[in-house]
Amino acid sequence: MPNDLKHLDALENADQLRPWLQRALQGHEPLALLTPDEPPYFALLRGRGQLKKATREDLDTACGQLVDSFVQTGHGEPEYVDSLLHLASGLKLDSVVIPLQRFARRFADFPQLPADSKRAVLSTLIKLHARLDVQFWKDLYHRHRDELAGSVYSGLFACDPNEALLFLPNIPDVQPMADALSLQLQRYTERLPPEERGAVVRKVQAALPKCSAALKLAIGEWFEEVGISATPVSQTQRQTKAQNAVRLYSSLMKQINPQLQASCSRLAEAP
Amino acid sequence: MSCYSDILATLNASCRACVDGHFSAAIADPKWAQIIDNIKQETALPTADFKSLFERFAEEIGNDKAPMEAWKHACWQHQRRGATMPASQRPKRLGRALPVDSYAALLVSASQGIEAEESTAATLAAELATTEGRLIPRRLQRLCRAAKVGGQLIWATFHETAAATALDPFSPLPQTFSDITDGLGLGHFRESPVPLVLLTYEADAEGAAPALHRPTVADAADGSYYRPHTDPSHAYGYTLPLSNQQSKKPEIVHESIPGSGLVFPFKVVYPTDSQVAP
Repeated sequence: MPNDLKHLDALENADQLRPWLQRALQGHEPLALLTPDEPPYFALLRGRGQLKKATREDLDTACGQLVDSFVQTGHGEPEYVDSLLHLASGLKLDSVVIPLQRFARRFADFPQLPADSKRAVLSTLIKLHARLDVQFWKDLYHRHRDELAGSVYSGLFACDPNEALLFLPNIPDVQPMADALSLQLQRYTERLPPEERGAVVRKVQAALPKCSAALKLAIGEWFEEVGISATPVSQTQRQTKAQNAVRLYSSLMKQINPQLQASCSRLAEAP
Repeated sequence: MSCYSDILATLNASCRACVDGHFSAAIADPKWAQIIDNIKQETALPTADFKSLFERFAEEIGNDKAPMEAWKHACWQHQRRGATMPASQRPKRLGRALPVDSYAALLVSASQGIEAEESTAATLAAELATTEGRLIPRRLQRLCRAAKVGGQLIWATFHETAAATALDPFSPLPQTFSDITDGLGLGHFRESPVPLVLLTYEADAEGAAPALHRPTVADAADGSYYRPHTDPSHAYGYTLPLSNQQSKKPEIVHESIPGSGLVFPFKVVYPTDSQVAP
């Protein structure tokens, strides 16, 4: 079958494989795609397992070399760069982390680099668990503002979710970004132990008044779906609500069972 | 529209020898043999495009490409060239099946940088799966509408009955992985079984009303499950079901469009009942 990857086993080394890989990632080589519009990296990741061990290593090396070439010039169509970097993260190529990290610090030197390619670089760093500190992401935000705000939020989240929650008011008024963020944050929160969930929700509630309309809408919908108030409920408010409930119960009990009502009345007294 | 032999006669001698030589030789690979058979049966590709397709194929062969590779390269330059579907026959709703992971990747592209170590695509794929068949969160609906429903070449089906073209394109099919892949002739998904999301979308949504083309061998490229429809004047093509359990379904191709016309909820089917390729 000419469009599987086995023909790569006949190549002798990564230098021979690299030009083919570059053309494949540009969509210029036949690959076993599941749909004609599937990005090439899906087929490469699916087909890698059928290759000989040496060829798999050459594929990894060639991918790393193409990333090195990209970070030196910043050249490449966004679709190619996206596929190349998805392949690198899919192959778990830790060797690309340092070059990509250095490249990200020099984004300003590449004014022609499309925003999509910058985001693809940062996304790869996150997926490869690059050890980047909060300051790296904050510096990026100061230099690129809204263009990279979604990536900066994601990077901060990987470092420290609390920092990401503080960053929420900087998320621009872009609805798809806000919607994806809200879905991601909800999933994250739901996986936390119950005692930690409340703390995250309260931080989001505290940030919400300063957030964009898009984020207010998206977070508001999440809260509405699960029955959380969009505004934080203070300790005093929670006590008052509980006391009111007990008072109401107490007055009902007075009608039904006066003996029980006495203990209810004691409960309703303020601590 | 012209058939294979008519086009062949219009090629110059060297090009004709190249094309005829490759397409008349005994072929061991059954997929390539099927593609060649499809080329010979094609009725929907305009004459000029068909001729240009063969010329490009000969050029690629001259560049030392293997025949199937040369064919696929040539096809890329000649896609969405089948006749445009007339407005009178245009369906109101279209449907396509694609891997959940591919669709999640499209959603991530629309999110402009929201990424997680565990992969936002995986999260969104899980979200699609858990909301499958139910009313999905408005946030996810908006994200789906902002994202594209596919790349440069999208194959789609629709409900053929004129009075029913606003109906769910998948409704004539029992909605299991086996039946969907069977009815739509998606044999390649039987070879690499993955969960599929069934997207349904309005064909004339604002900002997303693509020209609908009758599919041709160039659109199918190296896909061997395509079958040319015999009637050259028909407005669209038909699938070849993988078994005789399903009837053929109509199909068209179109360019990439945003999902502004998506209809919710959508269905996800799993290859739990997957079969080996027929």
